[in-house]
Amino acid sequence: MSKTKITIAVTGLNNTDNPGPGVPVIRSLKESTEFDFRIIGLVYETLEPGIYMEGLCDKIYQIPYPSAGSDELIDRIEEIHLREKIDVLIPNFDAELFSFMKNEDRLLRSGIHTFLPTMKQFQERDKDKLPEYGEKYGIKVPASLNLGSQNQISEIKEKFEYPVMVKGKFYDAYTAYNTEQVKQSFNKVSSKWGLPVIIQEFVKGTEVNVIALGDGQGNTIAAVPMRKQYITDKGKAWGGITLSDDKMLEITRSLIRQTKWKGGMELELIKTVKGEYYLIEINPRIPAWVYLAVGAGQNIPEALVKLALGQEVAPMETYKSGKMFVRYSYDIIVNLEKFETIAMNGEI
Amino acid sequence: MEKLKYDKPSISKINAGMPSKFGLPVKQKIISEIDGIKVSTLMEEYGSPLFVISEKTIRETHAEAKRAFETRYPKVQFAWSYKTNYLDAVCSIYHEEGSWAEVVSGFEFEKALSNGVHGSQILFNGPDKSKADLRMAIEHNACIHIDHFDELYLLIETSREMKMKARVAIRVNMDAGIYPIWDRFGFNYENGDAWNAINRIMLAESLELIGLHTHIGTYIMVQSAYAIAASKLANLYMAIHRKFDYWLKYIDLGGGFASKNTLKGAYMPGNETCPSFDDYAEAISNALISSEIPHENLPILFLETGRALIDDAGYLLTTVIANKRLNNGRRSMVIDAGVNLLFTSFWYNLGVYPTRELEHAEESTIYGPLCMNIDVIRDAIVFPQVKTGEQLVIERVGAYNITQSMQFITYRPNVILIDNDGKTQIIRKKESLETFKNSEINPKRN
Amino acid sequence: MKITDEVRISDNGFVFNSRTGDSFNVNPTGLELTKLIAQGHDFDTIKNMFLEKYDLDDLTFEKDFYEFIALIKHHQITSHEDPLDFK
Repeated sequence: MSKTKITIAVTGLNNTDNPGPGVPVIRSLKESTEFDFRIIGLVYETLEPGIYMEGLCDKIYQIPYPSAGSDELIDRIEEIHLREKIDVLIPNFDAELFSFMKNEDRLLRSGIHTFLPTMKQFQERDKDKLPEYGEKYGIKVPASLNLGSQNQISEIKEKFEYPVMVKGKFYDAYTAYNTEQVKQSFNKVSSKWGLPVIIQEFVKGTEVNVIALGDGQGNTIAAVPMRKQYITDKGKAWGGITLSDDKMLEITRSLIRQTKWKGGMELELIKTVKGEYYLIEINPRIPAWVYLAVGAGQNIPEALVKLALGQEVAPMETYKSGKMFVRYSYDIIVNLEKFETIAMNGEI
Repeated sequence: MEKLKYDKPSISKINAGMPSKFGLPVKQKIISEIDGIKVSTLMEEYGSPLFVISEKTIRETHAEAKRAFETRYPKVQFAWSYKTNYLDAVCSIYHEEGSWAEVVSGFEFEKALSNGVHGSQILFNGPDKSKADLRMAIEHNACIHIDHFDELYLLIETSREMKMKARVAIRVNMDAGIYPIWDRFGFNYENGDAWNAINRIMLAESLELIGLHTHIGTYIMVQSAYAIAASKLANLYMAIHRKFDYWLKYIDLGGGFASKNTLKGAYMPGNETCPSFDDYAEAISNALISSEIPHENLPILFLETGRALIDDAGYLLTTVIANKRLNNGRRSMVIDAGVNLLFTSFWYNLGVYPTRELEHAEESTIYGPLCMNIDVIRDAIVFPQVKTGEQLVIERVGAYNITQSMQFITYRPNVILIDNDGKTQIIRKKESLETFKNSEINPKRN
Repeated sequence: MKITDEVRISDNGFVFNSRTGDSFNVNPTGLELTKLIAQGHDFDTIKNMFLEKYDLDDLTFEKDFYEFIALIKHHQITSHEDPLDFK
């Protein structure tokens, strides 16, 4: 039986030491037994490694950053669509999700399918609203305090024991062991991400993650738990292993059931020595370690494509535990002409 | 032989990490006319720089806000926020549209009266109300929004002396889930100060409590904060009814709605991320209607939104004075409008646009003409090549820029209004040496 | 003033400086100017060629020329004598 031909556009080809999920998503798609995917890589920068990896993308286009305005971004994608007939678009950056969610209907009208969380699902998991989120959906979260100004730093002593986590609204997290360090981190974080700065209770334990896919109806189509075995200085997993942990799966399914989560997600949890799980963050997209899930038996990107195309997908309930991934870096030799072509023409 | 069109030679470094804009179709927005009138015509007639206010945009935006609230809530009253823009011509349009006046000083109070606003339709806010101000407010039967206990006692004293009743509301501050919390204004909800103030007012024979006021902050991008604020005021409203068997007349949710300008540091452009009037109206109306308040006793909803109503109606037209390469090769240009006219440039990335199609956009810095280092209108903006004398338009400057503008080293420019019929007229004259001579006194020396 | 030997200029406007590793993008007039400079023409010759070919006045060209020269110098595309050696 010949495979169905489908064209997929993927962003996030920045496979650096803080990798975007684009390259692993493409690798996952290439393992599909049902589809023959034609891959359109969408890049923001001329040095995204995915551009230079042989046999990865069929065609690569440069697109403008969403900060230039969603319209410019979507116009460019529609222009690419005229040439390439994109069936499904899989965005992989946090910063671009807003633009794509907002323009979901417009993209669909021109025939580009996506499978993204709703604006409400996206916004209610904001970091500064985590306590409300935990309460609403019955998940333990670390105690936290939103700081609106430096004056409030003195309140930390009354509520928390040091160390505490000092976090930005969108990114960045620092551990602080005393008031002075909180002040330093507060300044760093607030100048970059604005207010509030979030002070989070430091929950001692092991960091574990779940990659999952919700169908938007409350069903969990895929879910694979993992523990990071080695973490880089940027806090990214450099090695990880799949776990057989029913409690983590139960938390994931319950959350997806209640929120009717649509699309890929990553839950970041801390498992304490007592065996309790605290939710520290939800990433509203497929994480960069997605290929481990594929290796363990759940091809999440492929399932996401099917959902985007409106096909029925049966929940994948099994996976192999004890599968590991080890990331490695690899130098590709590139001729200047290739760089010149992408830099001058915006496509290659 | 016909000569070819000349393009200025340009070179830009391809930054690994920064996407090159070349090869990508970059749409350059241009503003060549305002309400159908050519920018060049306006500048020819009224000079440069030039503030332009569009009556059409004011009325349309106001109608949009009114529709959003009135289709969701039975009783709505807007009050024009004078501090946002108190040019008489502007205020008069809002009053014509049915807005009351919201003032924060004796000066603004006098201005509202002189614009023909009835005293009972003036909401008097702010922390600075002198005894004379309070007397004026009591005489005119205004709604005095009390900010602190010292004001409360001064008001009791003043109204007793005058043997008149003062109509009052209190300003309440609260945790509405947004930062920073503006606890410097009004009485706090969570610690019970607001409730104490209410009880004190209810005991004062010369005061009549008629409403509750809050103003949770500025440029609020989450509409849910207003829902929290509305619910908290609704709680107080019901508590007053239960304890005193008394219904207040109104709940005033203040202003703070975001305009479509982009805040510095924001990742996405403001016009994409800001809630619409419908979003704000939905959140506020739902919170009030679903509160404990019985439907027949729902208070009038007062709104004092300023920025979101007027920002889009104001433009500043400006001219390029010079192009300059900085030492590091970065392109910069000097325009004839400085930060003294554009106070909001300190927190917004204001939209600056050419009036015609121009080419070769490059990241640039736009400086004002003041001989001061802080005079930066845009730190980084992708902008096409321009020649000196090129006319540019800065949009969304209707809020605060005129009221907060500062005279410095030169005269402040004309402000003109394009009325509904497309006619233009000066609504504030450009300053002249006379402006200063009139108020300065140079002591005679022997 | 001379374009340094390590600079490679492509006809599509891609300029690569192998001494610094930087690459650049020049527009068509910039490319033309760069090539004329590389061929060793002096300011007056280039000016006359441009005025002949384009709809352009001499002062605009002069301003643009020197701005462009300053930029390529900044990018180390041209080699120069010591700027404080006031000859």
